[in-house]
Amino acid sequence: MTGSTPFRAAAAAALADRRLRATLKSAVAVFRGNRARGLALLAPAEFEALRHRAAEVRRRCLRSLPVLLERLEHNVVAAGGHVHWARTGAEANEIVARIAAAEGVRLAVKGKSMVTEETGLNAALAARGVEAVETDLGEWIVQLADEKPSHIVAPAMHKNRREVSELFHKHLGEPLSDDIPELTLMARRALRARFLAADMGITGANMAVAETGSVVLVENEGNIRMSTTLPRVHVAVMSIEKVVATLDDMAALLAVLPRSCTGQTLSSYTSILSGPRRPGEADGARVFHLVLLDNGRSALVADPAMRDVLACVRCGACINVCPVYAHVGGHSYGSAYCGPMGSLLAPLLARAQGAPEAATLAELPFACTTCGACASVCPVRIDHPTLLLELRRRAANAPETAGLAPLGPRAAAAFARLATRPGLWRAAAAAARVLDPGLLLARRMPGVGTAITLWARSRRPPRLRRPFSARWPALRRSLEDSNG
Amino acid sequence: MADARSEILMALRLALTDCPDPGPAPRPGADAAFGPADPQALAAACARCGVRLLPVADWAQARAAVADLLRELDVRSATFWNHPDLAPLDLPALCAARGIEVIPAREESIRDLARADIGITSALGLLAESGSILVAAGADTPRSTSLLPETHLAVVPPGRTVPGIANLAPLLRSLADVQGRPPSALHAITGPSSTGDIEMVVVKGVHGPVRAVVVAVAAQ
Amino acid sequence: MTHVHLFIPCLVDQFMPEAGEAAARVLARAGARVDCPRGQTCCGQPLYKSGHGDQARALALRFLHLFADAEAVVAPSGSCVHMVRAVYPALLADDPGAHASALALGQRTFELTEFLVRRMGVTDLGARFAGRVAYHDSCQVGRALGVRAEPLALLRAVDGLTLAEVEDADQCCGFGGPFAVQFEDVSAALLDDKLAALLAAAPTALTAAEPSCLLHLRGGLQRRGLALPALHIAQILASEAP
Repeated sequence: MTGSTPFRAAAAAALADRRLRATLKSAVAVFRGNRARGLALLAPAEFEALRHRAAEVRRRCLRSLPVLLERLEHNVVAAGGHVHWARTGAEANEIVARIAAAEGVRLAVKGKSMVTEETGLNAALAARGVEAVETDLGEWIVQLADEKPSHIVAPAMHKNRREVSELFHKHLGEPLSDDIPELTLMARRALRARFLAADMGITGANMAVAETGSVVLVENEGNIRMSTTLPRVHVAVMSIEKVVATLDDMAALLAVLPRSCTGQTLSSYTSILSGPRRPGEADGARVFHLVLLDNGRSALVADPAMRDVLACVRCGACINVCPVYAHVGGHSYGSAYCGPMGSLLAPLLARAQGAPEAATLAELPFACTTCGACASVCPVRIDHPTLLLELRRRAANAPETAGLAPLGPRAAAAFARLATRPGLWRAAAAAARVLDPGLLLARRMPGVGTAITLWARSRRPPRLRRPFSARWPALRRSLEDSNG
Repeated sequence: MADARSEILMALRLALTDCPDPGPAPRPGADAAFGPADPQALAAACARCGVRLLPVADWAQARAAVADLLRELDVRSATFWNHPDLAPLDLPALCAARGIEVIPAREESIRDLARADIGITSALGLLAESGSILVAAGADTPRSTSLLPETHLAVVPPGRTVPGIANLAPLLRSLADVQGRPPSALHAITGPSSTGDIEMVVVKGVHGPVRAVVVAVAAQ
Repeated sequence: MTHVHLFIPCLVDQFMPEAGEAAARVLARAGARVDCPRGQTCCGQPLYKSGHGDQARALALRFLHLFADAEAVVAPSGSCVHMVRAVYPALLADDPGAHASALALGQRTFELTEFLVRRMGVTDLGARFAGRVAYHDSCQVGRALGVRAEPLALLRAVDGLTLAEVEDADQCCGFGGPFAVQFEDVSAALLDDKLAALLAAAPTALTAAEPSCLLHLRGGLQRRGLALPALHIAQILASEAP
C-alpha cells in the first residue's frame, strides 16, 4: 500500500500543480452550475421521470443487443451505407485505414470520439500516411500539445488560455493573446481550411437507431456537422452497446444527455444521419461507413454484475461531481475514460481485452471515497459505488492485483476473526488503550502502523477511550431511574 | 476463424442467455409530430439557447423582417434554399434590391457557401421545448446553407411547432420516403455554434454560424 | 413504548463513546425504551470497502443474530446503517434464509435522526445549545440514506442554536474509509476544501450524523491547531440548559 502506482504518482503530481488545481476547480464548478441551471427548468419529478425512462431504454436495449445490431446493420445498408464489425481496436483502425486507402484519402477531419481515442486511431492512420486532424476545439488543442484528453466532454479542460495561446503561437504562428474569443477565432480560421480540404470525416456516435439505421451525433461546435457535410467520405466508429431500438428510445436519451452534460435542453447541433447523401442532394458525404466495435464489450455483457456499466451515455455528469476527479484531473486515470465511469470502464475493458495495463487499472476502483455523488446525477441511474466495490472485491481476490487492496487477505481474515470474538475484541482494545491510547506505538507495527502514519500526515489520530460498552451498564441504570 | 461479425453476435447471444430478449420496444410518448406549444415557453427556450426569435403575423411582415435583418447585418452576400416554403418571400428580388450577391448552392461549388454572410432556410419545425430549428437534408434543402455562412436565418412557415423532444420520433417517421427511410440528415439546430473548450468560457461561433435567427410566421 | 436496540459502531465504541451515550439519552428523552445488545464489534464495513466483503459475511450473520429480536435497531452512524440495509442483503445473496432476514432487518434498522423524525415523529427534544453550528451533510447519511432534512429539522429546534449556512454542505470530506490512508494526499486535499468551506461559515461548533466524517474533521482541526469542537449531532441534541 505504500509503494507508488501510476495513479498515485500522477495524482500527487496533479495535487502539486497549483495552476492545474485552480483550472480544474473552476471548470468543474462551471459544469456543476450549468447542469443545476438546466435541471432547474424542470420540476424535480419531471426530470426523475425522464431519468427513469432513459434508464429503462439503456437496459432494455442492452438485453436485445444482438437483434438490434443486426437490425441496425440491415437498415444502414438499406439507406446506402456500409457496416463493418471489429473485434478489437486494432481491427477497427485497420478497417478505417483500408477505407481511407481505397478512397485515396490524405486528410481526415475528426469529430471528438472517445472510442477512437480508445483504439488510438490517429496514430494508426498516421502510420498509413493519412493525416487525421481533430476538429473539436479542445481535442485539437490536446492534439497540438501532443497530450491526451483530460475529460470526455471538455478534453482540454486542464489547459488555461495562456497555454492555449502559446500552442497557437508555436503551431499557427498566431500572435500571443489572452482573449478567449480571439483564440477561438484563430482556431476557426485554421480548422475551416481543413474542413474545406478534407477527403474524409471521422466521427464517433452518441447512439445509433436500429429502427432507421441512423447515427445520432450531439455537439455544440459544428465541427461534426462540418465533418459529415463537406468531405466525400464519412466513417462513424461506434462501440456496439450504443444501439437503441427505436426513434422513441433515441428521443428518451436525448432528453437527458445534454441536460446532464452541459445543462442545455439540447446541444447546439443534434444530427440524425441516415446513410449517405441521396441522389440530387448537393452536400453530405457520398459514402457512409459505420464501424461497430466490440473491444471487450461482449465480455462485459457476459458479466451480469457489471453489465450496467454499458448503460453509460458518456454525458460526463459523474466526472463533474466526483470529488476525487476534481483534485486529480483526468490524466491521472491513465485511460481515455476518467472519473467514476472511467474507474469502472477502463479496468473492465482492459481486462476483457487482455491488455497488459489491466492490472494497473485495477487500482482505479479503490481511488474513490464512495460518496455516491456520481450515482445521484447519473441520467441512466448507474450505481457506480456499488459496482466499484464489486471491482474492489475482484481485485482483492485475484493474485495479480491483491496488492492493490488496502488490506491483504490475511489481515482481513485476522480482523474478521477478531470481530467475531467479542471477548477477544474487547481485550485487544483494552490492551491497546492502556499501552498506547494515542496510537503512537502502533505506528511501528507492520500494516496498521503504515496506515496510522499516513493518517497522521494531515490528521491527528484519535485517542482510544474507555469504550461505550463499558459505560453502558451505568448509563442504562440512570436512564431507567429517570424514566421511573 | 469465424469472421468478426458472427463472432461478436455469437458472443453476445451467449452472454445474454441469462435474460430473455425483452421483445419490441414500447412506444410511449408522443405520436404526433406537430402540436400546440406555449409561445412564451418557446420564446424562453430560444432566449436560453441563443436563437434570436422574431415572431411575425404574416408573410408580408416576414419579408419585412428579413429585409430589416439584411440591412442590420449589412449583408453583402447571401445563399438560400430554392424551396417552395420560401417562395412568399421572393428572396431573389429582395437581394437584388439591396445589391446582395447571391451564391447558389451547387454541388460542385458548395464550399463557396462559406463566403456567404447569411444562409436562409425554412424549417420543418420549431422545437418548442429547446428552441431548436429542425431542418432536413434534401435535393432543394442543402445542409451547408445552415452551416457555412456567418449567420443562419430560418423562416418558419405557420403551423410547424413541434412541442417536445419526444415528438422528434413521430416527426422523423412522418418524413420517411417510399422505402421507409428518414431523410439522409435531420438537424436540430439549437442556437449558434458554440464552444466552452478554453477555460469553460462560452464563445459563440466556433465552426458553424455565429448567429442563429428565426422568423416565425404565425398561423392565421 | 417504542423499544430501541442501540447499534454502536466500533468507531463510536472506541473513539467517541460520548456520541453513543448521547444517542441513548436522546432516544430515551424522545420516549423510547433503550437496550444495547452485548457483544457488538464491527459491522464489517472496513472489510467490505477494502475488497473483502466475503470476509464480512461472518460479521453480517453475527449482526443478524445479535439483533434478531429487535423491533427497531438505531445507530448514530449513517454508513453503518447503510452497510446493514443495503450491503448485507447483497453479501448474503446466496443464502436465501439469511438474505431474507437481512432484508427484513434492514427495514428495521435506522440512522438516529432518521428514526427520531420519521419513526418517532419528534423534532423538538427540548435541547439547549448556545452557538453557531455548521452541519456537514455526510455522504452516507444524506445521499446513501436520503436523510437530509431530518438532522437540520432537529438542529433548528435546539434552543440557542443558530445553523450556519455551509457552501456545498454535501461535498465529501474525503474520508472514504481505507481511502483516507490509501490515497492519503487526495484525501487530505478533500479535507482541506471541506474544512475551508465549514470554517467560512464562521461556526462555533461543527456537527454531523456520521462518526467517520467527525473523526476525520476532528483530526484535521487538531492537526491544524484549531480548537473548534466537532460534535456528533446526538451530543448537541442531548445538551441541556446549563
